[in-house]
Amino acid sequence: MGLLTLPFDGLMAIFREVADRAEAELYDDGAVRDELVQLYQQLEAGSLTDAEFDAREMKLVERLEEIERHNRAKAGH
Amino acid sequence: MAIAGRYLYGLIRATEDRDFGPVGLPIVGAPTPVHTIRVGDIGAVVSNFPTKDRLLPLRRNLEPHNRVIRDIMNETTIIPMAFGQVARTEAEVVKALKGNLKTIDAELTRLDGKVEMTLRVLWDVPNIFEYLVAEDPVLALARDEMFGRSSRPTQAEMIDMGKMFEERLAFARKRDTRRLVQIFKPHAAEVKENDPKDEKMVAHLSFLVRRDQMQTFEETLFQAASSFPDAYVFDYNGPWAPFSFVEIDLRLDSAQA
Repeated sequence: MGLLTLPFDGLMAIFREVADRAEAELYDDGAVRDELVQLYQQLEAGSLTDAEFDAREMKLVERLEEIERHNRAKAGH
Repeated sequence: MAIAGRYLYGLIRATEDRDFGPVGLPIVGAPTPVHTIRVGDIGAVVSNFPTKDRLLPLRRNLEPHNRVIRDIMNETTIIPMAFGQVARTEAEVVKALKGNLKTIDAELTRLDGKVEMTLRVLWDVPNIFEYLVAEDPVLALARDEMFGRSSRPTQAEMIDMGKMFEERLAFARKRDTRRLVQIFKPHAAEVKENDPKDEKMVAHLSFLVRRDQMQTFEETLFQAASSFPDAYVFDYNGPWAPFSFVEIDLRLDSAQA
């Protein structure tokens, strides 16, 4: 039988909610999305402080913007 | 200086002005008051937001966006807005409401008492190519013919093989998605198929589910999961505000664009 995973709690729930509905708009790049998931997991597990999380999240989101700009340029928009 | 921009969380029915407290997107680290801008009995849930600020999808912004919508959703029906909608002025929000009152009213009725559930079904296998080959004698034969001889496969052969694999993948997804939709259709008001974003993703579905049907929906989920092969993982999330089922587009000339 297939395995059924339970919905996430806490921080991951927020992330999943966002990722779920806005995947295409906000986190279209799979690699960046995976890294963000890891960041959230580390924050939730307490292995990252809020400040560390914020700094690394900002870097990722900036990279995401960079990718989007690149894609837009490539698409000729 | 007064802040003219308005960040938009969603649309609700409101016969009087509402104040949801200081829970909005932060400005310079401080949370802002969330309130309504009303036209008739429709209210736009907003907080002040400077239009010149960059609005990035960071946790510190996403979290309040989601929390506001979630809290209101527990109390009344809300048409949730996607993250990042900012109107230049309050007047712009009023104009958007006035121009869409009937549509908003219909949408609120359509979403009333319903929540969104999402389901991702994945192939939990180390190598999706090997998995499909094991399931498909024709594909297995083609692979064996290509790699089983002494000469290396040509580029054309590799491309053909790739095409065949893609076809099988698409076929399996279509077959399983159809099966899932059939299973869940009786228990959901609406079903939406999203494109799988990952090679190992079988299906990505969103369901609009009536609150009073949640229990049967979840029971169906468990039954469905147990009726699929071992390699399938069912990853479900929710209940959330029905983001995927919002059809209205307020056409705010987003100040961020």
